[in-house]
Amino acid sequence: MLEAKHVSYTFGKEWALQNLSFSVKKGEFVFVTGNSGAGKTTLIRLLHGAIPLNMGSINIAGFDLKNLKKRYLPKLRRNIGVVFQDFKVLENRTVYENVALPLQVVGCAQKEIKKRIYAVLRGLDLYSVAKEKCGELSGGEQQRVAIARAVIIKPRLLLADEPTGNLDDALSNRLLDVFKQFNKHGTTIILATHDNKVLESNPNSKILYLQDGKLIDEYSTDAESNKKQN
Amino acid sequence: MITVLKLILKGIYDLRLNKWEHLLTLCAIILVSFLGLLFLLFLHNIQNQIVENNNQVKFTVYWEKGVNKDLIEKQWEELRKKPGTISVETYTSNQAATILAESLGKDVDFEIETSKNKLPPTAVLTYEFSPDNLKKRANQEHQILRDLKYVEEVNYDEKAINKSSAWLNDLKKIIWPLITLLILLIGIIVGNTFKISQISKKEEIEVLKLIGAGNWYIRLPLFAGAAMQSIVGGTIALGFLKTTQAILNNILNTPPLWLKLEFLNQTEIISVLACLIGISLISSWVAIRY
Repeated sequence: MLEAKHVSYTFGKEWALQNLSFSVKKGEFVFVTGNSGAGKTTLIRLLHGAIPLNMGSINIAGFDLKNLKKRYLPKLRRNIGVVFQDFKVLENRTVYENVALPLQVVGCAQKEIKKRIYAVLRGLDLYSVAKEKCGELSGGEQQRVAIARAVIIKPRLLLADEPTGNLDDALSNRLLDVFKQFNKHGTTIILATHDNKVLESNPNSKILYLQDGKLIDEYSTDAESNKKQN
Repeated sequence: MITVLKLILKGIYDLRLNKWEHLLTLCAIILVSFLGLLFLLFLHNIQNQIVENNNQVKFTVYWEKGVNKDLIEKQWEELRKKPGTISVETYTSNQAATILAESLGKDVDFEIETSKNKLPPTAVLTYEFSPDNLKKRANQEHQILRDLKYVEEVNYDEKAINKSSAWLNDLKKIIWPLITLLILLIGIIVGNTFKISQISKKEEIEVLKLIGAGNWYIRLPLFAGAAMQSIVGGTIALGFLKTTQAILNNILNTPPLWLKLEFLNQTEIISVLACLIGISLISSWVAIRY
């Protein structure tokens, strides 16, 4: 699904990422963790093409990010769902309109859009607020709208950058359950977090530990695979 | 094609969002367009006045004496039918003599017997020519009139034509730079207004890019919205201008001024609207790139 080789990134003279190499299999749940400034957000931004890849190579579902022409970037992004810490929902539009955007972009029929949106909104407990403007919702609801918008296109890869950063524990756990459900249905997930509680929430995951832009540790929390490795 | 149409409609429908930003943008467009149009109306009327006073040429044509009256009158009839003719004043020998006697006054003993009348049949022709080739057309017409059968002499004021041509050339030199400057000024103000109003859509553009929307998917609705605002703003400004013109015309077109204030012609109106749409599209393009 994803293969990163010798990935480095600099902001001016400062290294944000240094020589990162890792791979993610289809259907895997990967946590990217580390302290603030470790390079988690930079990595997530690189993975969905928000910043250009200068050094190393990344291949996501057949898209070679190093040589990807600008005009093909939208095509890559239509295969990747992204959830941000600050939600990035359009506050002056309704929940329905926000979630419908990715489907409208790919030219989905109105009937199909309606069917898929209501299915996802039911799953995320947002059905009752479908017609409400996002600006009138709570933080937790807005984050779920962002997730609904990310998963509505059934992405091959779901990226989440500190999705629980602005939420309380109860809401965080609820959101992580949602991510786990999507993962069970086959969606590959890469979730960046600095919160240990979040890491403990999913016992069947891979963890990439970053420090000062370097990949310090890579291990699996999956009990069975650990047994095999041992 | 359906997708393009859908995106255009989406752009227009999305004007309901960020109502205040759009309303203020519309107000700015109306105000700037109105001021620009008012200036254009002023230029248009000055140009009209100058052209009206300088694009007419008067020819005095003298026929040979003693030519059959019917033959000359037939020629006069043909001259009246010529395109571009403003007026044809004709005088037979006797009429010319009577007018001459009247103009000399009662104190002068001027009495001409019909048989001894030596004055030639005369016509004063006024033609209107295009201001672009006034001098050339006056020369051509002079030659045509001279070549008429029985015509003895044709006079016209060449100096006045040179003066008019110079006036019209000077007018051209002034008008176009002024209109260009006007378009530039409107462009800068309306363009910046659009740029500012598009900032409110920055978040939406960012989100659309994130979910994989292509360039045209993002730009087309914004262009459609901007074009719609320009059309509505321009039309309202034209409405205000028409009202202003009607009011000013009522005031100015009365004694002693008798200044007729004409409204812009169709070409000018279409050009103004096209300019506004063009400016809005360019500034939207720049705003999105920015």
